[in-house]
Amino acid sequence: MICNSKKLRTGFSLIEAVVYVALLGVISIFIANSVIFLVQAYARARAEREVLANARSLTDHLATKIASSQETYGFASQFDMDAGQLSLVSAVAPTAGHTTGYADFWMDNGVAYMREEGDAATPLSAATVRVTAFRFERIIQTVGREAVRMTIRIDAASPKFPASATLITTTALRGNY
Amino acid sequence: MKHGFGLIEIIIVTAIVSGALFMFSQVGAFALKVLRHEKENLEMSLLAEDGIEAMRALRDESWANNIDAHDEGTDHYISLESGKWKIGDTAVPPVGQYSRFVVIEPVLRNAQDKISASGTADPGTRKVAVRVTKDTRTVSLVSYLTDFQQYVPRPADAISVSYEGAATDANLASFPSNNAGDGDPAQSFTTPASSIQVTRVSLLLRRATAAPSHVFAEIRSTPVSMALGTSTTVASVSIPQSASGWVDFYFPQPVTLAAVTSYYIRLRSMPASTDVSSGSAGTLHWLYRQTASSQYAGGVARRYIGRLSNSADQGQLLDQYDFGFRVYDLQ
Repeated sequence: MICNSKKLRTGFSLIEAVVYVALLGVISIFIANSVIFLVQAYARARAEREVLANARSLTDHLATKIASSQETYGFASQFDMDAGQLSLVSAVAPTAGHTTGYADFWMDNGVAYMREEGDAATPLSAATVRVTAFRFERIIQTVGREAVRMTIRIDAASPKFPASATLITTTALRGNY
Repeated sequence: MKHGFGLIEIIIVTAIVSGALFMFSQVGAFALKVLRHEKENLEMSLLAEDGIEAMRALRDESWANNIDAHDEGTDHYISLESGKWKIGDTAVPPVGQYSRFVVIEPVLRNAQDKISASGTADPGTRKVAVRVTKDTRTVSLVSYLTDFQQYVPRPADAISVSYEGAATDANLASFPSNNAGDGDPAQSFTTPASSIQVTRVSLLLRRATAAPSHVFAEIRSTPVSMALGTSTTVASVSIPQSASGWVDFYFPQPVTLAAVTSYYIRLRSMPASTDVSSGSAGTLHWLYRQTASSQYAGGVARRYIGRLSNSADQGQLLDQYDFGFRVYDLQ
């Protein structure tokens, strides 16, 4: 009998196997879900980071250029529209034989570009984001006091992990101050 | 019998693994929250900077009217209308999800003329705080504004040429046309005996419908030659609706015009009234007067310029008509 009872207690019983398999299933599902959540959180965080970094650098770059310019060049600028264009006249980097130089900013197919006179167009935003608003408003408070207000909206390029930032700020043209 | 895993061991392992995964996911969620928080912070900081820049512009325009005239210590609101900042006591709609307030406070100076908590009030300096809020979060920027402009010779402008006699308030030019491509109206004028530098033109307008297209003015040698100057855009809502009023169109850089020469003020819209289906919407009334011999001797009115996208179309000459206009010269 002792021998028999020892023999009985070795190995798995059916109920133990069922419990183990069920536990394993539950654990597997939980781990898989957690891993998927982690990967998604990482992708979301990356999209937010990209949007933030691009929006910040684009706004800083534009603000610096606007502040150092003398005037906006009205004929080449498109104000008050979401797919706007800004053309600036600046004495900071004049072309040879001139006292001023021109710099243009525009967006095309979700990418913001800059071109300084004599140079090739340079993209100002990364391929991981889309510029969806590139709007400029010209402010003339009084004679000789010009400023540009920009509204820049940046969205993550992938629609799967949406992230978006809208930056609005005004910079006075200090070149004529 | 003591070999292998028991249920209790599996449960412990499961608990440790779950705990680790939960922690990782919390870290991920926290990182996301921090990034979004930082993004909102950036948006709010830039809006506050926008506000400080607006206050500087208002200071440059008029210390007496824009800074000195407002109550100290209470909330004020700033808004951008037709290319100019306005400050007032009535709340303005929030910018996106953020509300913005401006508080102007007096500045006291001590015996050494330094800013201090007590002392004599300095009439030429104010402390300005711009506060941007969203729910319970606030970003504040504080700056001091001084009335240094009173010591700087300031450019000013005065009316050089004008026609003040326009009184008929009717739809003469069908402008901006409702997607019909009816073109633009214009008024010619003749410069005085010496050359002038035009800082702005002022047109006598009335808004006849709730929301016509935004408008801007151009100065050209002929109705269809290249523009010599393009003004800032005027939002249609800022054009008076109940009665006509003079609406300013500022030129960012003064436009130099030769002496005793004819030029045109061409009123344009955005989207363009010259193109069919451009999205342009009417209607504005540019007040005019009709007399058998055009009352303003220096110029005449025109309408339908550039109609149906034909940029060479000089439109129709209205030789008995004159639109009300003022041309300002830099002093």
